[in-house]
Amino acid sequence: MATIDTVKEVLQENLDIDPETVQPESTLESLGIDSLDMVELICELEERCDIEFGEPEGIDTIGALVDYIESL
Amino acid sequence: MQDEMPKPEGSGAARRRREDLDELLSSTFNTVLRVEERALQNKITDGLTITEMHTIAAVGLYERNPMNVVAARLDVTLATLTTAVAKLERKGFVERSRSEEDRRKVLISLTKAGRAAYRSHRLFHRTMVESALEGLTEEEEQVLARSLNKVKRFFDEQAGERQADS
Repeated sequence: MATIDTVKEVLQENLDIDPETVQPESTLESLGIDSLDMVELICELEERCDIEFGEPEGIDTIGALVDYIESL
Repeated sequence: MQDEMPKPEGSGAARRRREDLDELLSSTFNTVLRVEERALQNKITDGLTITEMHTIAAVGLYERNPMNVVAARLDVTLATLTTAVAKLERKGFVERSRSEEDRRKVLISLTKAGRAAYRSHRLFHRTMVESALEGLTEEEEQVLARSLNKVKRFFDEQAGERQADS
C-alpha cells in the first residue's frame, strides 16, 4: 500500500478524518490534528509500517509526513 | 510614627534576597510538579502518576534494557523498579521479555501505548521549557542555566552525602 494511503487509513480509523480531505499539501492544523493526535498517529504508523519514527521536528503537512516515512 | 532602628544596609537586603530565593526555589519546584501532574491528564497518559511517567522515560523509546540499567537511571533499587514495572505492565505501557543471549535475564521495553506516553511526555517538557523561557533574552537564558547548574551541583552533592550516610 502506498504510504499516503496508509496515512489516510490511520487518520480515518483513529481520528475519523475523511480520506477525501487528505492531500499531500494539507497541513496537520487544517485537518484538526493537534500534537497529541500526532503522537498517537506516529505510534500507529510505526506499528503498521514497521519503522522507528524517532522524534523529528517540523513535520507540518501530510506530504512532509509521507516523505519522512519513506526516507526511513 | 515609630522610630525604627537603622539597619546595616547590606546584610538586611541580602537576607531578604536569600529568603526570596528560598521561597522561589521551593515554589517553582512545587508548581512544576503540579503542572506536570495536570499535563498527564490527557487521552494518552491518563491514569499514570509522575513517577510512572518517569519510569517510562527511563526505559527509553526503542530500548530493551535489563532491569538494573533502568534502576540505575532512576536511582532506585531493583525491588522498587520491579514493583513499578509490574504495575506498568498491567496498565499496558511496558513489556518484559527474556534476553535471547541469556534466558535468565529479563529485559524491559515500551509497548505502543508506552511509546505514545513517552512521546507525549517529551512534548510536554519541550513545550513547557519553550514557553517558560520565552520572555528571556539569550543572555538571560545563559545566566539562568549557569546559575541553576551551580545550585543543582550543590543539591546533587547533598543527595550523594545523604545516600552515603544511610
